[in-house]
Amino acid sequence: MNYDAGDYAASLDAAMAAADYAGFAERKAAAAKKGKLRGIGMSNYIEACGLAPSAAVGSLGAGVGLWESAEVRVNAAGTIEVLTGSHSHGQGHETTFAQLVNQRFGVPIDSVSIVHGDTDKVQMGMGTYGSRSGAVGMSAVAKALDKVEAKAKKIAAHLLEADEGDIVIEDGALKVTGTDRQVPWFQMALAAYTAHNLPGGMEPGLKETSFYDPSNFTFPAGCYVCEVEIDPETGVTEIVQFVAADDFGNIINPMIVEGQVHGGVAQGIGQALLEGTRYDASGQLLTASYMDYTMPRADDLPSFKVSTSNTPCPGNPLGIKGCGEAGAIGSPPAVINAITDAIGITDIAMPASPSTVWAAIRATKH
Amino acid sequence: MSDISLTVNGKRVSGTAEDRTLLVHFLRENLGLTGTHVGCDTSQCGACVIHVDGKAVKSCTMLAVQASGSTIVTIEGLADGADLHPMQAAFKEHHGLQCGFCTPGMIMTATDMVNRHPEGLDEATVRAELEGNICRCTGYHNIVKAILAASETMSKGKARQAA
Repeated sequence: MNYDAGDYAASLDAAMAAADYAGFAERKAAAAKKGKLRGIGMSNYIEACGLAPSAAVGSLGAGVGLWESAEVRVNAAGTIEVLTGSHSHGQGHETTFAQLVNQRFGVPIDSVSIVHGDTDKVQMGMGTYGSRSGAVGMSAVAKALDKVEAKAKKIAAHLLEADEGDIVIEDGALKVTGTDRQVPWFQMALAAYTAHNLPGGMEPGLKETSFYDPSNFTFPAGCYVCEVEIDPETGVTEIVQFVAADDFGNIINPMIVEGQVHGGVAQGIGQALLEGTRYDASGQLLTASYMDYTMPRADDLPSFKVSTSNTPCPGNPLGIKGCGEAGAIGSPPAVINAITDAIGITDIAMPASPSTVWAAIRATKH
Repeated sequence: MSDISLTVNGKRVSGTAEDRTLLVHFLRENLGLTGTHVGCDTSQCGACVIHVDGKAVKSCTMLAVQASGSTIVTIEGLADGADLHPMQAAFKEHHGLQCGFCTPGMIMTATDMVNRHPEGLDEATVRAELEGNICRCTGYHNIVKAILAASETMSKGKARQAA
């Protein structure tokens, strides 16, 4: 396995510009006048995700293969159902996967439905984790769409008495390139099911299945910059700025991708500053409710500055690297580096709660 | 057991429930209004927020009998037929939800927040007043954005009504 492709310098440059890294000294001096300790921290991460080549995970002891499956059913009315083994529990597959079909065939997005999580309908799948739904799940969909496209073009070529190689699919129609001859998508689909006039030997219907087993992991990478202000009297850390610049490869839906980063960053900040599971000496869990276990709340966090660059991933047909975990990977070190920078130390334990930070500040004075 | 009468989303409803029944369970199980979610069951997470007599209340922290005689609005009562409430529309527009579990409580808290701040909202106020609602998916970024946007739309709507 090799790191495949990425513009690491682009993320670094974008993050440093968005964070106004150059202006930090001035901001630190201004904070000092208010009696606050200001620090800046950076983290450059690269991860292996898009889980995963089955042979590779097998050699690591996994009991399963990590391919993904998809089925694309074009119905007689031309509506399209995509059955995917990637389950959506908030990641927006219903939107992103439908966009993929819309971009491919130009059919209205509301004529595409995404079916997931219903084991009565969906063939075996491997699920949503490891930033794999886009890179692996959608690649399986793309492969099934390839097969649908090939058969649809054969049907259209037959109906239009044209060469199959001259058929293009765009704007919801199959067209003979360079002419005004075309057959609407829904009419081609109906022809597939009436089967009155199909090429000789062709099976009726238009429904294709695919399994996709990735050839490599994918390697999202990025640069995160966190800036904090610490009140030395109380040890309370405020995140005053958080910047994330990620290279995610190709992106289908930027808004959903940004949402994934926001959630990950919040989780990482929680890990770095707030969240810890505590037991007493007798093994009693002390952090058993949200009153004691500090999940980040809205006023623990700032709004985030998020951007992406898009070096296509060479390992899958869509060039997608994945974005699900990046936020939670890049953020804890950036936060901790900002705190240690502010205090002038080299390490601090997570979660860097006010008491931990206060004690660390006190220790520097002795 | 006690008889309970309420006005829920504009309709008079009544039922009988054990005295210990929480309002959220009465809404979900007796009235079938499952849009209101039970997250922590202990008033910490905010997924169960509804409006009781015009105020945002965590419905897992109130007994159904205590609410008898009240006027209640749940997430199901916000939209005007097929037209989403401006707060719902803003959450949709700004991707203010991912898994959706916290969303009913977020939206009911947010509409109450806008109603209590006719002067308008800023980000710091929204974040401070959202303290009682927990979200694990969005990092609150787009929720805050949606509430600020809806606050603008709702105040414009009020201005139109007044004009």
